[in-house]
Amino acid sequence: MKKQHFIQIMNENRGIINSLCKVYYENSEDQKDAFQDIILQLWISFDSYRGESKISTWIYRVSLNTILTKKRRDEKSISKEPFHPLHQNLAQAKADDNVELLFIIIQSLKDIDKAIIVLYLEGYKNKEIAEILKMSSTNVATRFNRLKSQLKLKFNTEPYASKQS
Amino acid sequence: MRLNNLKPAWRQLKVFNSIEQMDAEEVLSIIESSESNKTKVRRVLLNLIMFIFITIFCQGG
Repeated sequence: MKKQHFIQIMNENRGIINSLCKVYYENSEDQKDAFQDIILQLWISFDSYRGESKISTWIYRVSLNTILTKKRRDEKSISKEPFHPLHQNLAQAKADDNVELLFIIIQSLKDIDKAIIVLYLEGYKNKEIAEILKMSSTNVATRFNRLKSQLKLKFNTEPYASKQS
Repeated sequence: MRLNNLKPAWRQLKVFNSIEQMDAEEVLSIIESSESNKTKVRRVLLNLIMFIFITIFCQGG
């Protein structure tokens, strides 16, 4: 019964879990690994979910913290993946495809910044983002402002930026 | 560029990624593998406690 309930919740929120895996991992095998880790952590913490927050908030909290921990662990054992500068990826993007653009922008960010942007796009306020990511509100606000100005600077200097208007 | 303009894109991305139903069998196998690991750890711990108990209290003849 409990397992069926859990599977049902996972199914209802599969869009969040799959999107997070794809945002953080390009390789399908890595996405599958991350998916398994997230499901496992969600199951382990399922008993401690008391319904005080929305189920989607709980899923974001567990999923993002699982991915960030996994990423930190992987970085220790494997040399860092090459950083793709934003301008290289942006050049490949179709200006009229906002999803593709979003994907490219998010993938060019650092892991923790990805989480902040994703939660912002989901509609969370700085305080809620801070709680989900176990950071201070000041830290989130500072990072977020820095991120916004970086993206604005990079995006507006791209030749195709004018196509967006 | 305003980040708010990307909110519909995030919603769209979630919809794309929710088209395919989650495989219940796969979720079950992940859950059950964790439970079998938990059982193994419990069994090892129990055996260890038994071994310590026997070593300390059941010596001599």
